[in-house]
Amino acid sequence: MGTSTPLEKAIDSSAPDPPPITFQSDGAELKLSTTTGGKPHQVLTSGYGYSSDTAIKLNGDNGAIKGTLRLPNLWDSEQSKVKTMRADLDSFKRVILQQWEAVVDSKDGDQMSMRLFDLKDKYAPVEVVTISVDELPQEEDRRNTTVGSVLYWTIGYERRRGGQRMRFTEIRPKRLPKIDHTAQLKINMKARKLAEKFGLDEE
Amino acid sequence: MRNRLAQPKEDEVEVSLFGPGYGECAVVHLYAGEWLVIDSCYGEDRKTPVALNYLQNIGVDVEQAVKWVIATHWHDDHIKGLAQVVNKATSAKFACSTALKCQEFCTLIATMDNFSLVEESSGINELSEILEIKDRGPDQWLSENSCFFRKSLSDSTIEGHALSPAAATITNGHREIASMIAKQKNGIKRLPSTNPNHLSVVIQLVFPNFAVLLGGDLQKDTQPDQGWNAVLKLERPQNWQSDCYKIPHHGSHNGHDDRIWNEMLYPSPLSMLTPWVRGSKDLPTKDDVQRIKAKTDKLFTTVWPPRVSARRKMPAIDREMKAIAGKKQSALRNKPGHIRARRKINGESEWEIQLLDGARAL
Repeated sequence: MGTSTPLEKAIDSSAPDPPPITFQSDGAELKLSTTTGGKPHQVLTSGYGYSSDTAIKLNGDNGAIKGTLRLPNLWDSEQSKVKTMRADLDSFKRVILQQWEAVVDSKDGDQMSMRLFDLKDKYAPVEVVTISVDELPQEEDRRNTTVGSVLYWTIGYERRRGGQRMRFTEIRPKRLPKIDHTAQLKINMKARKLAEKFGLDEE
Repeated sequence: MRNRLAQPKEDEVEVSLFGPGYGECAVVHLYAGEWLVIDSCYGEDRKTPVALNYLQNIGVDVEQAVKWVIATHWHDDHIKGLAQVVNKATSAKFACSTALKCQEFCTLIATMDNFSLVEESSGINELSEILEIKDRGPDQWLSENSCFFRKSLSDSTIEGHALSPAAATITNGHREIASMIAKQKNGIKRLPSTNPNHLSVVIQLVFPNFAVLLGGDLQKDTQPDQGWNAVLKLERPQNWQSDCYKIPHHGSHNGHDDRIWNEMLYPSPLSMLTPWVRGSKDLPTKDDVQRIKAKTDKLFTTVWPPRVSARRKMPAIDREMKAIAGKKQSALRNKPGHIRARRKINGESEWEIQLLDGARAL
């Protein structure tokens, strides 16, 4: 095993004696930590989704998460071989499988067309979808969504009360800033510099 | 068929048009190893500008050989990666539309730059990056009737002219930009690419015995002094009649004017276009293709169709997407197609056309 590079191990759910791994979620991202030889280690501060370049690949089903785990070298010690990762979803609320940033390109009646930019794989092909504006849960959001609006579309699993696991979809607007006084001052300053660059101050 | 990695000969003009499902870039060999890049889109990896990929692949020294980089307008299907091109092409002059030379545009750039909207940058952010590189601003501002390039040969010249935007368009453009800023005050939004393309630059390249017309995204207008109406009113020498045409605005009917075909082009010119996707709409439409084919029997597109099936994902994701979007999902074609046309600069030979990477006749 390498000593200085992260190692990847395939997760084998049948392997014995899994190390204690716990999952926590703040509802937006999955946090992974564990203990090795009695000492707590923060293995990974955050990670979510299913993607080729994220630290965790999730493709679990039936309440378990299986996949490939990229871990630092501490996992290589004799006492803490990582062979299994099986987590009951009871220990966290949400697993995000996919998240896009969506730009609304057109709106026609209750239909809006959007380009989807994969947040976990920026080189993934841009997708184009047309969905109903009614997919936005808030009336105010439905009203305010126009061409140029930016939305988040998240798909994942969440645990409901009673332990039932459900797929979820959440489409919500990105809360975009309004231009306050401080921002306006910064904008004015930058605009003045650009105007100088363009020679507009001399005209 | 010529080797795709072969450079044009010194006395050959090349017009290459690249375009994936959404995006456009033209690369022109002017003469004796000097190149011009107009607009930009990414290659298949969605991070390297297609112009850099191509020129480096055929062994062109981009730093020395690219003499001009031109942004016809800032819509993000025309400008992705242009800052990388400007950064690499250190000998090149950068030119863009005079319509952007105004206080309103400076404020718009400053406004959009102040907020990180989406991972995928917009055209305005790309221009902002270019202006970071070009610390004295664009080397040349382009508007109707401006000659940005002239090279003397032994007994003739090669010239590059901008035919638009017209003066009236520029004034209106400043108002449009001001209204965009006003809208942003209520909450920042990504600037839509659907506003009129009147500010786009049209380029005319004039070689000793033929000419090339690159239509940008300029559209027809009801006003006599705007859009193609204004271009058509310009006085043009006879030798500007073109036999190679980059069709404006992806073949759309609003970029079409019969007078362009009748007055500015030879009959049945070599005609190229890039497609465009927005929502459920693809350009060119069937009607557009039919209309253009009535004017030329040499119509080529960089790719077709511009969209492909969305890639398969985890079953759970696919199921959820299908529940929300039904069948209305697709993906933009990532890989740009390439139409390459070459001919002798003295006009002795006809255009030699190569269709590469999915480019095809329509």
